[in-house]
Amino acid sequence: MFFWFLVVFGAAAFILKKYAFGPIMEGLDQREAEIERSLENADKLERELATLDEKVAEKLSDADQEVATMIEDGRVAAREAGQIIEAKAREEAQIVRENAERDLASAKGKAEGELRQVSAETAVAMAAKLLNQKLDDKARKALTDQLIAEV
Amino acid sequence: MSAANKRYADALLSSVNSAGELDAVGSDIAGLLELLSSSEEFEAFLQHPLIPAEQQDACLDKLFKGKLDAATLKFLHLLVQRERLGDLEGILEQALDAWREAKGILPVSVVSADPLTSEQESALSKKLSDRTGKTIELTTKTDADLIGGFQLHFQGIVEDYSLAAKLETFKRNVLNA
Repeated sequence: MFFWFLVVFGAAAFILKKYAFGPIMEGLDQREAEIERSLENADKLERELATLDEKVAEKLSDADQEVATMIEDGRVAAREAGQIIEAKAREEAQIVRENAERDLASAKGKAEGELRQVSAETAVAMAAKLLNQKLDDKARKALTDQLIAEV
Repeated sequence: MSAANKRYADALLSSVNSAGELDAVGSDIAGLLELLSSSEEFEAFLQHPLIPAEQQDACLDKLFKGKLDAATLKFLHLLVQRERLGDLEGILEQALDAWREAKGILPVSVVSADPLTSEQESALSKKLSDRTGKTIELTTKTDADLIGGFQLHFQGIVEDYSLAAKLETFKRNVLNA
């Protein structure tokens, strides 16, 4: 009995080894290789991801730097523009002030001239009137005689 | 003042042969100018384009023969012949200037604030005669706007001795100060 058990066992073992264990082992090997490849890929991906993270961080840092530079440049440009606008405004204000001062001086000169003109004309008119009233015939004749002597 | 009038005026004076005749022609010129300024009819006669030359000559003889010097009348007939009688006034004015020049006479117009006395006129004439070396022919008129003193107009210039001018000078000095 035991003998037959051994024969059957041996026959079964032989058949299994010959027809089942080979493909199973081969399948297991393939599976193991696939798993190893997957693991390697995962490692590779992980490494690439790490590299990518570094690059992204680097890019972000560069971008931050660039943005900071742009902001600084903008600030400088705005400050310069402000200075230019302020200088221009100051220059225009100066021109307006000078024009106003010139107009004022001109108006003042004109008013003074008109006042002088009116004063002189009034004085002359008054003098003429006074002379006409005060010069009697004798004085007029004496004046004419004196003027004839000047000819 | 036209050059043609000047030529005719010179022709009239150059036709005079003696000093006496020069005086007579001068008197004729002044008389004719007086007539022209006072008689519109005479002016119209001179300017009329349709009066024939013979008729103009006859009228001139009738009007002036025996009254004007022969040289003057001959000159008027010359103007008729040359059809220049219409320019007589301009020619006579030129002739009067030339006559005065020839006689050494300087016409002076005096505009005064008050009428001048005869003594003042004499004194003024003497002053001007001494200055210019010419005989002064004074004409006077008054202008109260001068206030006092007088203006002398002669040889195209004005010498102002009036109080109005002195006041004007004073005013200018004040304005320019």
